Amino acid sequence: MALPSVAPQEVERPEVEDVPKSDRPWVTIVWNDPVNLMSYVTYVFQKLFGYPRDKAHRLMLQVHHEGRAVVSSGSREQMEHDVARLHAHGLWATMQQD
Amino acid sequence: MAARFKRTRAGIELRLDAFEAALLRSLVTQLRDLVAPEEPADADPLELITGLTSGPPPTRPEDAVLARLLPDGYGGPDADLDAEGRKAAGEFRRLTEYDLRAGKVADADAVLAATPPDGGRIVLERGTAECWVRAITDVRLALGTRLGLTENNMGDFERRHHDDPVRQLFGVYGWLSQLQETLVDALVD
Repeated sequence: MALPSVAPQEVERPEVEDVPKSDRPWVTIVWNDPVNLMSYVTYVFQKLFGYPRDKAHRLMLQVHHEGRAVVSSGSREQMEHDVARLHAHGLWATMQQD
Repeated sequence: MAARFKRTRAGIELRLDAFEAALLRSLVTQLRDLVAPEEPADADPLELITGLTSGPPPTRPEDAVLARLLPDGYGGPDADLDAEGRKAAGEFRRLTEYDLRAGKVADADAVLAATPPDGGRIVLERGTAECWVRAITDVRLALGTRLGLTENNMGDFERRHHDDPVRQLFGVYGWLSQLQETLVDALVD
């Protein structure tokens, strides 16, 4: 990566800081657990979110290897719905503001 | 015990012998009893239907198995919830826990209704098979939590003597894992 040769005159504040907390999206996180089968977790992501098989598989692997993955984002109400459906399928899910 | 689901022209099929059928019915009945919503004798009938209670929000169950089956909607394994998080988790639980429990009871009932006490051939439609896959998940979560399974200690259980009750329970867990794996395969086929 090349660095700019001239230092910027003005430092712009990152845009994210201008977004008030209330406007930031919510996310649903699925946590790794030692019981649920990899094939089952992939199946649940496909079924609940309509993700194609390869995306669902990738998210499952992220949960497995990194301990967690963001599986959906949107309004708080939408995330409450997603977390409740994941709990109904035995996955360990929580929501938080991004 | 080598039961496995198969996709056939008739639907999603499973054959259980009498011992397996009795075992499955026993496990699912125990799970059903564990998660069934508590209905105090003096409860408001409307409250029982809506699942909305006027009292303080429920908190995460102390029992490890119930806590895993009915998890908090906020937080995670890394940190304890702050006051705001606890309030949000309580509110989420107040709105969803009754339905979550009732759904798990309905899934368990679907398994019990389809499993002849003496075993035999079981043919499931897709909707019923989806109830089964959730119910088997719940029983595996309960057994796995009770056994204290982690990603790294499976071998410890396999090495125990076959007469050891813990080893036997782990064997049941493995049997359910095979049922689960073949059922998922049949559902995504």
